[in-house]
Amino acid sequence: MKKHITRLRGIHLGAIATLCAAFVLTGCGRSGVQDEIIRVSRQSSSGTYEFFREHVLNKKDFKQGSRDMNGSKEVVELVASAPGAIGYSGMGYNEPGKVKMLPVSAKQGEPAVPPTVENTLSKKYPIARSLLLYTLGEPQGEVKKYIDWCLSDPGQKIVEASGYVPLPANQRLSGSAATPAPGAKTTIQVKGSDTMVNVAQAWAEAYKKIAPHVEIEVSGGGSGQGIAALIKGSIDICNASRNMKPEEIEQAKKNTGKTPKEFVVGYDALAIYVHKDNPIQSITIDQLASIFAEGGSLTKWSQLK
Amino acid sequence: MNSTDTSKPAAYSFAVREARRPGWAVWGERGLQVLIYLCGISAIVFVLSIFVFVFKEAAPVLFGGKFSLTEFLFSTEWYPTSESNKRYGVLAMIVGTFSVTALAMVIAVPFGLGAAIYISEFCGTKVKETLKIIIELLAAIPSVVWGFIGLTVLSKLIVQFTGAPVGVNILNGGLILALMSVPIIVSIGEDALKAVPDSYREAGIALGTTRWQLVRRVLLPAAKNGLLAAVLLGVGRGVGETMAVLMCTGHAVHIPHSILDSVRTLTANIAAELGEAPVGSDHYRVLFLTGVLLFTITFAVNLTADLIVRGIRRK
Amino acid sequence: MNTRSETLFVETPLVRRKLRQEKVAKWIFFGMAVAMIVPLLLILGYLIERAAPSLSLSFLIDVPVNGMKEGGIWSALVGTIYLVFISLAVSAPIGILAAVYLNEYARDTWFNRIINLAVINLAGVPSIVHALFGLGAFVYAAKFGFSVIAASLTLAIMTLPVIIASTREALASVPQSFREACWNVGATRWQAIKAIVLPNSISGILTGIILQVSRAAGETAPIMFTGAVYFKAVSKGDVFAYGLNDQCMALSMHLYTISTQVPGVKESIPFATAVVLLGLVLLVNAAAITLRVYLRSRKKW
Repeated sequence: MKKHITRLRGIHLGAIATLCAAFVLTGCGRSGVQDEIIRVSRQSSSGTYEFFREHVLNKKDFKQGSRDMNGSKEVVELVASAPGAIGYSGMGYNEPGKVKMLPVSAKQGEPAVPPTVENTLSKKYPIARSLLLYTLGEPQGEVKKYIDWCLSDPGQKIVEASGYVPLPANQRLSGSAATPAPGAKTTIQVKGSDTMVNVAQAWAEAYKKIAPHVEIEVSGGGSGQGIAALIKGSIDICNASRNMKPEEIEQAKKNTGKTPKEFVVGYDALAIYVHKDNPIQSITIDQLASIFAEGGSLTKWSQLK
Repeated sequence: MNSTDTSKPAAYSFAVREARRPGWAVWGERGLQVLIYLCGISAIVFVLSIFVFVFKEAAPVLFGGKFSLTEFLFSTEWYPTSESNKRYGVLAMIVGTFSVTALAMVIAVPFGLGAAIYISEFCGTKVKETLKIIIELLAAIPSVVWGFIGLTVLSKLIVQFTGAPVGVNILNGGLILALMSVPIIVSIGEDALKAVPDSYREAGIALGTTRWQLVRRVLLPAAKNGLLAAVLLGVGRGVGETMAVLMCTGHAVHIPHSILDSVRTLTANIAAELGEAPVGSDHYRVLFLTGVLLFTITFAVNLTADLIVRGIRRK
Repeated sequence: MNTRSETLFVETPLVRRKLRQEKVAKWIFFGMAVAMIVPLLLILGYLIERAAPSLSLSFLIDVPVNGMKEGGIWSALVGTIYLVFISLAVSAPIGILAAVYLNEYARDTWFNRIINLAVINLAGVPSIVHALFGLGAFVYAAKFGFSVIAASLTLAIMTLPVIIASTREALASVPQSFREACWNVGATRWQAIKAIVLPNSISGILTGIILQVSRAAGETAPIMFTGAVYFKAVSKGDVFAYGLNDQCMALSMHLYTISTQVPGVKESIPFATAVVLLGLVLLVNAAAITLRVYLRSRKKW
């Protein structure tokens, strides 16, 4: 009897071991040409994610199984390390020499437009978006001075230096808010878009030099996090790379009694990144939708030829 | 305070003192005892409040009606921010947590137990001290540093040696978690082996066994409860780990089909989406429900391990 | 006649095989013990080598500049120090007193067994659940907002159970005869504790607290949601950089953001941050271990 039990145990263990080995070995040895498209996306708190879903996927849901990165930089880094990858991120995160940004055409047959400053401003690039700041109601005091500074020349120079498209001269404020008068120590809490977080940080760093009594605390986390915190009333300025939805504006009004006010502080092109060795030259919106959306049929690079 | 008792003979008056403590000292000590008691129950207050709080936030969605617990636990579709069709299924994340932890245990348990056996049975005192100190320092490394190592160093190595499409996957997370869990397994395993009475060893040596035979035939069976507790605590650590897996596992919501595939764990899911879920929304509450799930799993694992450990300490 | 003694302990082939097996087993286990350590040492060496261009005293004192792509880590370092100090200032007294209660005053009733269970489970709670609790309780319910105080309190709850456990062990290691001697000369329970038990267990207590320094410095998830920020402008070398209601930067959070969110950062800076954090943690732990060894060698029983 004991012999039978031990033999059964052996069989079970053997079966488990074979399954495990199969699981382990299925992945190994798959070298060389990577035909499978590896989708690199963002987490759902990101404004970039929402913007992509609304404008490229036409509000359909993402296909599951994409690697959802926390930050814009991580998307580009993952694409740079995986030859079969494709991802989307702000054009300010480009790493020339490791990845390339694909020109995008709105429809099959139309010319493909590369993501450059001119194409973004002229709206020729199909997935261009505005970079936004939201405050609860009209900004007052130090917050107003800070936002005015961001909208004027010194702030916009920083936007340009970070790789984004600054406001054209006719949309900027004049340099009246150049040097705010010193006052009592105030803290401004800024939270939100990960795409904009390095711009926000550069602003905070530069502003501290001209207004040392104002402490600016910058966090990222995604446009969704910033908007959620604004609705809750716990921050002063929200960075967003997408517009607030009507229901979010309603909720903010209900919670805090104030209507969120929107400021456009720059423009950005949502670039499509592929590995530098990837032979593909351009892509259309429909192809992107077919790759990333739920129910889309494009799963291999060979299908794109 | 000197006594006012004059009935004793003068010769003894210096020796006899009615010792009475000042009033403030007595009341101070009573007050201190109350404070100490309050601190004592503070631990239970905090654990209960964590559980109550997390459960309270999750409760409305659990008992609300249009939410199904079976769909939550067994569906792989996780679309909390969908405009058209919100779905909350965490099965893919449960599989993710399970696969990373299982791989970590498969690597860490043999090595950890082997190290524990070596430290407790085979080596001399100097080597023992050194190894123990190294293992303690290994345990102190913060989880974000482990995540950083996995993200920058290990992912490149994995891509190089296995040709995987991406370097952040189950293998990466499993290796990092294994390195993180080994110190726990080693230290508790060593405790378990030390708890086996010396008389067992002496009996074995008296019969002429070698040390290896002693370990295999006598000590391991005797210490198996403690070793099991060590493994369980390692599992508890693995399930609850957040930052390292957030950075190393690739964060993809799907059932993995090989060890080189990316997954998302329950902890990473909460960490990634907590900030953006509007307070009080369904998404927010489902994340807290995931927290309840995690809390329950680690509670069960730790409780079992503790009961086992207490059992061997009583021997 | 000593033929018998010559035949008593002869090495038979069986004995020789057993000795060989033992040698093999010994080397296998030694290999296992070392196999976990050697890769780690290699990784550490690699980290230090990649971090070398940035490591210097000015790296510690300078603040991050130029969009955090260059410069040092002062603001994060001082933030971590604030968080660690405040959280330990809260959890150490509560933890020590709780351990005193559990070890000295509590009788073995069901209530006290539940407290024991609670301590063990508090130790095993995942750090993200601590973050959930900190967010809901300290940031929103207690209205501290996102601040240093909320983050420190969250860290305090996280470090509390291990302080309780290690203090209990330290107190339990004081022989009962010491306490009995005190009681015999008429001391109250508290007088005995204050005069004899606590001073004799101070090494274990201090070790436990110092070990939690490294844990509080290394955790990211609890502070990410309660008070740590991506960036805050702080003056170089300023020790009083943060108030209790401000948010702060922290080393662990800084390492996370620099490696995942800041583009174009000079390559050695994330490695250098990791090395500084690691060095801080290992230094503190090594100090705790030496303190423990030193004080234990001075024990007179």
